[in-house]
Amino acid sequence: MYQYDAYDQAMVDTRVAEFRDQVARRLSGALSEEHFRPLRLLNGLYLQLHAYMLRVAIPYGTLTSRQMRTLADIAEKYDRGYGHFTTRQNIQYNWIKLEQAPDILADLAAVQMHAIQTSGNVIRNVTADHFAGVAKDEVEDPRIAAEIIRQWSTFHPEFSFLPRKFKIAVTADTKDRAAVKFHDIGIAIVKDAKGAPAYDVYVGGGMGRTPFVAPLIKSKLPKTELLSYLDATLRVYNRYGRRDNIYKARIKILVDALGPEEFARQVEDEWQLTRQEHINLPPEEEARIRAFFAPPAYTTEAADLAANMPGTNDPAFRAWLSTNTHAHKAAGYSIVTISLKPIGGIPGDASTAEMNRVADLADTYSLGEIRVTHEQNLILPHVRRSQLHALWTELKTAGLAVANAGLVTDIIACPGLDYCALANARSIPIAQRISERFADLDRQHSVGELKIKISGCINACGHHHAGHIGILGVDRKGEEFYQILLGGSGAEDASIGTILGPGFSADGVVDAVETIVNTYVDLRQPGEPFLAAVRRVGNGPFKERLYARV
Amino acid sequence: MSKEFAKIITANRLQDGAVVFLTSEGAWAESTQAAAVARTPDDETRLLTLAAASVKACRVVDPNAIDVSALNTREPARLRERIRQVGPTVRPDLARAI
Ligand code: SF4
Repeated sequence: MYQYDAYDQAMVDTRVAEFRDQVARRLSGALSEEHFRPLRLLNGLYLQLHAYMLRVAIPYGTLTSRQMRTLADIAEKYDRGYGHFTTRQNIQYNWIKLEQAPDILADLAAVQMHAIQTSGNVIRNVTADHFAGVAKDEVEDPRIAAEIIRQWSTFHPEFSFLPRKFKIAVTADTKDRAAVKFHDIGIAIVKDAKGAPAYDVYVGGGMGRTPFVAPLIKSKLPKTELLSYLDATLRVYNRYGRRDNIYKARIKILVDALGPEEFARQVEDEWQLTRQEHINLPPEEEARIRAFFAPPAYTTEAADLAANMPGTNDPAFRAWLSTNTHAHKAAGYSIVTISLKPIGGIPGDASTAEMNRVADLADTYSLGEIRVTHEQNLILPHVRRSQLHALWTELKTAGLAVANAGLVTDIIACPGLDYCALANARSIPIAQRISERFADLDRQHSVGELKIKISGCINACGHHHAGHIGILGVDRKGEEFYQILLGGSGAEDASIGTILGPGFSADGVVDAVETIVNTYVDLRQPGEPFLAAVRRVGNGPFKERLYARV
Repeated sequence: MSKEFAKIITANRLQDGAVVFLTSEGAWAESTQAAAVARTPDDETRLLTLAAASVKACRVVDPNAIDVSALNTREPARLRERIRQVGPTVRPDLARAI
């Protein structure tokens, strides 16, 4: 993976020193909160319900075992022994002391990490397919483009005061695991007419108050022109994005107002200028970055290539294999999902011990590499098939072998009212109760793929619009209430869920989800997944069953 | 019947972000037990003035008055504030004493 050079390291170290000084001046009173707030936000430090919260960037969700150990140490030393992996492949710490924040940033800098641009109206941490570099059918490793974008967007002077925050995601597979069409810019790496990698650029997607699936703005952009095209897109947004109304300031509103064709035309005009400005990356620099993502030396031992692997007579292991392992590019290898969704647990939370354990397992079984998914799970990307059973056995001992990836208990939930200052309602307890309701693993497996996504307010950090079942917490006269949406998808067939009807109380929503699942089981055709069934029959049958009993 | 007026002032401590409540002496306590209770809008204004001085002195940020139960003034009216008072409902092991 990418290694900082002397410039990268100096930039991050300088930023730590600068923030240390800013914190000292804040504590001494030389800086008011009004002046300090934007500075701390640019370093990922929020003030939440209970304390400061630090959001640490994990570029394109890739971590070394050493970095994971540092994340674990930070949780232990400066927080309360845990962290929360987010829906943007970041980690958040919930109990940070302002006076210690510079020390944390220094610890992060020592392992080439930071919290820069994890907040504010800037280009945020770039996300990517969590199977990048190992997905069987990908065109090329999307992290190369993501790293190029990361370097281009970090401290970009022209794009440091955008109308609103700006999120970019990259995928390179026909199966979209990065939800690119729900980003301000989503890039899908495809093949051009000659079979060379090129970029399909989607602009203006997003969730929040006004959800949009991003339209395709540019088809098959030549790879060498990525940065000039992004620059042109951001310039059009920077110029015309609405700064007068925070609810209308995202690029999606601009794209919608102009219409995708007109927006594309304006970007095209601008691009004719930016193309001349030498913004594009020189080929040798692209090659330098690409080299960091060269595939590791995979073993070709016969035992790994053999079709039969140890342990498959154990049904529990087989269940885990079926949901938590995935096809790998290299023969004899699998990609493994470590579920951070134990039954009744807090989605995405990991303790210091768990983070350290995953780091150890990554060293033993996955060439020291870990990924963070936007679905709040962890990935070991390079596991030899002959070692899957041994890994599973160790994961089981650590309580990390839950065989539920992609199933009804693999729920995305934002922090909600338990932590978040913007929340209307709690998300986590709803996820916990649904998880407990569907605890029976056989039942989960028989229901099949089903993505439940829960947000504690309209900001939609829990991606409820893109849930097969989406749940949105609202405040109704001081009571927590929950709206249910059906039929969303964050994948390549992206769609926005539609509201089923009147909301439910905290207790009622768990029953409602069960009714929806039971209705699906009753009406599905053989082999038909939940989302396909909803798309076939519409919301009608679900509504009938749900509201008939009222 | 109009609701009885009862408010306390809460903020986050500057240094560590901890949730705190204003006492009648102008100090900040982690428990609502010692919080000064405003029974009239004038009381509230007086307490908020005290709190503003604390902001100036770099002790707290974001002070505001919150409703509490008139009968049990240690209990905030809104769920959000009860969660701030005690801690995340999903981590009872981290709960603060009220
Ligand atoms: S969706 Fe709302 S409640 Fe949830 S984390 Fe985002 S802002 Fe907070």
